[in-house]
Amino acid sequence: MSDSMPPLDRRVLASLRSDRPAPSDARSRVRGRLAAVIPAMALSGASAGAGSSGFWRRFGGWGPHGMAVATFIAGGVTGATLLATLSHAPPPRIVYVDRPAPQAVVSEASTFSGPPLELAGPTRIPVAVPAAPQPTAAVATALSAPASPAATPPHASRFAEERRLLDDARAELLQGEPALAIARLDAHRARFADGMLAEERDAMEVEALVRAGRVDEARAEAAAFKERSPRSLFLQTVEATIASAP
Amino acid sequence: MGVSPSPSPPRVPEIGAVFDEHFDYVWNTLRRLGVRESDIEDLSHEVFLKVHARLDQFDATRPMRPWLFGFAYRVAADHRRLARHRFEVLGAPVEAVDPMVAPDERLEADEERALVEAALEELDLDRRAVLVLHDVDEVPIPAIAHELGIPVNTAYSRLRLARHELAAALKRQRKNRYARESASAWPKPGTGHGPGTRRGAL
Repeated sequence: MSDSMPPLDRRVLASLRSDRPAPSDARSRVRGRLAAVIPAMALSGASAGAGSSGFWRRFGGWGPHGMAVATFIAGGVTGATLLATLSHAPPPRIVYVDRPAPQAVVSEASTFSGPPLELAGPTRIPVAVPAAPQPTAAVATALSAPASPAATPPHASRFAEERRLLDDARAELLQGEPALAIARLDAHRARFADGMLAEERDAMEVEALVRAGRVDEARAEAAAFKERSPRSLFLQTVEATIASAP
Repeated sequence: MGVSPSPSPPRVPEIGAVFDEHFDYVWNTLRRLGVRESDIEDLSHEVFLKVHARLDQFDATRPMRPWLFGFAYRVAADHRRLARHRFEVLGAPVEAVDPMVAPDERLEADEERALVEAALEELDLDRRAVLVLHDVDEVPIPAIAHELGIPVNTAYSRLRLARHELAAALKRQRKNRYARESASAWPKPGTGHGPGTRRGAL
């Protein structure tokens, strides 16, 4: 084998091996984006390096409950950061609308809700908005009329952020990455425990757990979902998901 | 007689620690795999997301970098499958300047590196991955075969072909550079100097 294996020139090898440090601003940006979906990154970023490892190790030593507590704290930190950010935002622009808000919400909701976990194909749910969570008129206005970032109401930012997380999770499910989807849904739960899209998140999580082969957990989640939201539009989908689980 | 406690298995590191320690490595690996500078940031984000999802499957008795390389390789391969990325060439890198290196040496090293990167760009991604893992990261071939999910003989074969192709590509690149330098040193017609002009022809 070595007879036919040509050696590499030393200069070429040196060039190949010359590492360059990644730009520090890129490093910060990537860390920030990861922290948005991985609570552990949010905390370890506050004291990056060995200190953070020790911090998480202490939680790890508490077993699964430790991680849950840590995740809860991470959510708190993220929420506090968000609150601080929003509190410095300029006051929302007040816009008067001359028709009820749900119309704008319907298109948004119908894009993502319904038996939405039938991931391939268009949404089949009829317009059944009354049972869905009702965003405020401010949200509807913000959705229908794009404003400058400075004038975006906090609720709209929050909704958009929720929407983005769930869209990303859905895309990961479609790409056959249920573990990633679950991580993202957990991040949503940490930041928006009672968010406007909480039901959609919980329903999607049942689907993700089934796809990840964690069927027992999916069943438990589904049972909890049914108890929590017996009249949810997503209940039928959740039950169908469980019924089709292996 | 007491029983001595058996050594505890190595712990799987936390994602934050993995990021802090290996971000530069992932960045440079993506660059060596031909990802454009402007795309490396997004793709390194993608790599660490996937690493996070699989971190519990990492065998902590093994080195981390070949395992990370597997993620970077797959992300880069997916990226290149998109037609719009397939034929793009490495962009000019922006990097910190080492004040301890003389400017002329730095220039020479930069030119050589640019040449090697351009030659590397000509290699098929599968072969390039084996070459980078083996010749840059110094990972043994059996470990490369394991990480990339290929037979050992295939890994050897790819390395041999990659080195051959790299040598040939470098030869071409040097020849092209020489031709470009010669052409730029040749006066342009109409400048009034050199054999390319027609001064005095009439």
